[in-house]
Amino acid sequence: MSNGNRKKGILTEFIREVWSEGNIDCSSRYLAPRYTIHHDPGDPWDKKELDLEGYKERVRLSRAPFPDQCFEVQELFADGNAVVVTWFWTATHVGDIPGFPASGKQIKMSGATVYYFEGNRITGHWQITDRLGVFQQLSKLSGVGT
Amino acid sequence: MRPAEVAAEFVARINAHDVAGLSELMTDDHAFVDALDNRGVGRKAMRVGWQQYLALVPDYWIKVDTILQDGGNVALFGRAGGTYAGVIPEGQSGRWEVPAAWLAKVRDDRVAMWRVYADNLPMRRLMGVERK
Repeated sequence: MSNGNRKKGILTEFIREVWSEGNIDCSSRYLAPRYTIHHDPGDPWDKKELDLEGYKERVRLSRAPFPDQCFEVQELFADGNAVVVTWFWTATHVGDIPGFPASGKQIKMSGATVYYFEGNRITGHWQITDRLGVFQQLSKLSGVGT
Repeated sequence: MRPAEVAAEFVARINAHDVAGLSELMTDDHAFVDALDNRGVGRKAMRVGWQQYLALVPDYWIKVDTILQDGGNVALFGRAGGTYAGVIPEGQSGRWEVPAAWLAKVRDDRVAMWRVYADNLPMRRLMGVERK
């Protein structure tokens, strides 16, 4: 298996196991000791460097309002130490977010992420999402901002 | 040309507002997909689409910071911006700028798909499609 294909395999498993299925403790099998969020506008951890426990907390808090969230990987490719993934996210809004009480409705979002590797470990990411589009969907559901 | 070079040339023609040049770089079955998963298909249709979009945002620009390539897939990351030329809410300038990413699928030195990942809310608000 090529280096690029190995990284793509690791990333696919990481997204499925940790982010979609919520097996947060498995993060330790994928992440480097320090994880840097290089660019993720709207993410409370944007520009921060996290240790493993900090990363787990990020996943835990991010998943809490959307526990059935699922990332469908659309495109995946590797270039050097980077792996690009484009994805489509769906989730049911069952937990409160400040300003947006649980609605029980399905929310959708697309995005593109570059994950950076050192060896077989993920060291950080650069991400762009339609995050504000999510808030717009939530606003429609809750009546906030309409 | 390497796929990354084709994608970079596509960006250069977008920034030059060279719609005829953009059309030349598209495959006949070229697909454009925006951040909301809306699709436009076909070189002729997308030539018209770009003409209409550049009329709407006459100073539209893309600045690419990073290009990554794997086979015929090219990912570009950077920023996009411009000034909305339509009727805008009172007190706003119409200018917008957002972080953005693009995915190009290159085939035979042509762009077969151009997919945009960006936070479009500033533009949608200016167009009155979304409220604050």
